[in-house]
Amino acid sequence: MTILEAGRALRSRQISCLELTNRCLDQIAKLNPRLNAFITITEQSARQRAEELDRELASGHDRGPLHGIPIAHKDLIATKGVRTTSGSRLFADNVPKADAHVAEKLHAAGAVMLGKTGLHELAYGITSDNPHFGTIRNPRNPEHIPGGSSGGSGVAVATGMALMATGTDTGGSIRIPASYCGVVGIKPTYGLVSVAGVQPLGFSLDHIGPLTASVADARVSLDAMADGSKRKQAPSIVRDIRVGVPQNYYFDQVAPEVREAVHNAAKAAEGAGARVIPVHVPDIDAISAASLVILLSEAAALYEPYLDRQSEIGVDVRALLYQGRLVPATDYVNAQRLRKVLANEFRALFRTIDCLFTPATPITAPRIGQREIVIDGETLDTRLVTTRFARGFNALGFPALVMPCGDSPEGMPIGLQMVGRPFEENLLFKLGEALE
Amino acid sequence: MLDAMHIPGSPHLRSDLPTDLPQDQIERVQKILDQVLTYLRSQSRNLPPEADLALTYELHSEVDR
Repeated sequence: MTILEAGRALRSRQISCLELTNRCLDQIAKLNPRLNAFITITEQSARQRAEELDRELASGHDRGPLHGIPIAHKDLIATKGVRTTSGSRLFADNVPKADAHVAEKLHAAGAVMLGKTGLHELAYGITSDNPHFGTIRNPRNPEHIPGGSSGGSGVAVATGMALMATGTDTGGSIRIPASYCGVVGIKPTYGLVSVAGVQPLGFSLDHIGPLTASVADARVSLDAMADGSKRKQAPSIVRDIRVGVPQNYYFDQVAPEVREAVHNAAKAAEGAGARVIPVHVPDIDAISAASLVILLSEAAALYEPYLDRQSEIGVDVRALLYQGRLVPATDYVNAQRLRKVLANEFRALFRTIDCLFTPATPITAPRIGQREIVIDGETLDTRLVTTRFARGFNALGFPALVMPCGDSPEGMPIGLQMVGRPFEENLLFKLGEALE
Repeated sequence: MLDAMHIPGSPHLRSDLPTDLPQDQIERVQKILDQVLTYLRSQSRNLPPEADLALTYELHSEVDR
């Protein structure tokens, strides 16, 4: 059930907020022991909140599309009185005194919080194979990863354990689980959703956004998470939208089924009236390299005070933190400078198009523990492959929406990434809804 | 051995890599950093004067205007 379907059912009295919440809690009870999407389940407070919202609706107080909608928060978003671990032993006993700004806004919009979803330790990785809180598993095939770092959020939405879950994205952490779990995820424009009360990772790269079952659900969720007045209006019809399809980089070293599905999505956009234009994209390797150097440096600086507790940090995250300490300051500064140059080049590209279509990830979800993957006869690092198409847009700050666009022959989901100009999320929603 | 590795970061920090990290992780650190910094340096050799440190959100505000 989507948020919009649930909203209609609530308002026509076919279901109550409490019944909707109980459905999700039942689903969590049934599936969480196997998939491990949640670290904390706030069953009792969720039911109380749902009852309050039922009373409000009965008295004519309707808070809007998220009224009575059961959601979950990634466990690095501060929630008042509810443990917020960031998937780390370092914060295992952290109980915030106040909600993060985004949690506050969603609460005010009428959402019912079901609990906190699991993540890659400190949101610093893409597998969600967490050494402290256990391995999160892909609902399509539990032997595969759900992607990360917002893996629990992707699984929760894909299985109906929650109708929406929050995520954060510093190098693809919303879009990768959306792609691997077959749900919708949007990394909005940098700065659109407040990071206040959210555990940082890369200060100049962190973004917050929703994971949902449909594009329309992502739209109404983002409306509640951020000040809508900053976003530009979408064109009134899809026919006005120019879709760029890259002729370089984005279809190199890509699994054949992914390549085919994304090209089919471009054909579908054309069928819906959009104008598809072949384009040459600027140097993605350069923006990805700059983005990675910035992330390594900022995360290492952030966690420097914790390195005397390194035995409490998992091996892969610890290696990344130490890797960041090896980046000279000159390289960090030049990465930031290069970022500005490349942003100008991408802005020039976006004067000729309104939206760029790429695969979200070059592959479908790999197996748990799979360190390398072979594409076109070349053996590649799974982590680097997974983040290849996502990472650059964190440095650029452009909004990027991921939605399902097919399945592999093995039944694993394939994700389409649509990138737009800053503050043009509505255009992505418009096109995404047309494709759905 | 770490000393034999070519890590293009600050040499005095190489010894800071914890010795209890598995060898494959150390090799990964070395390999990825080597690739990424080498590429970054090749690209940032001739940055134009306008390549300053303005923050991303400021850039987007400009776009928005």
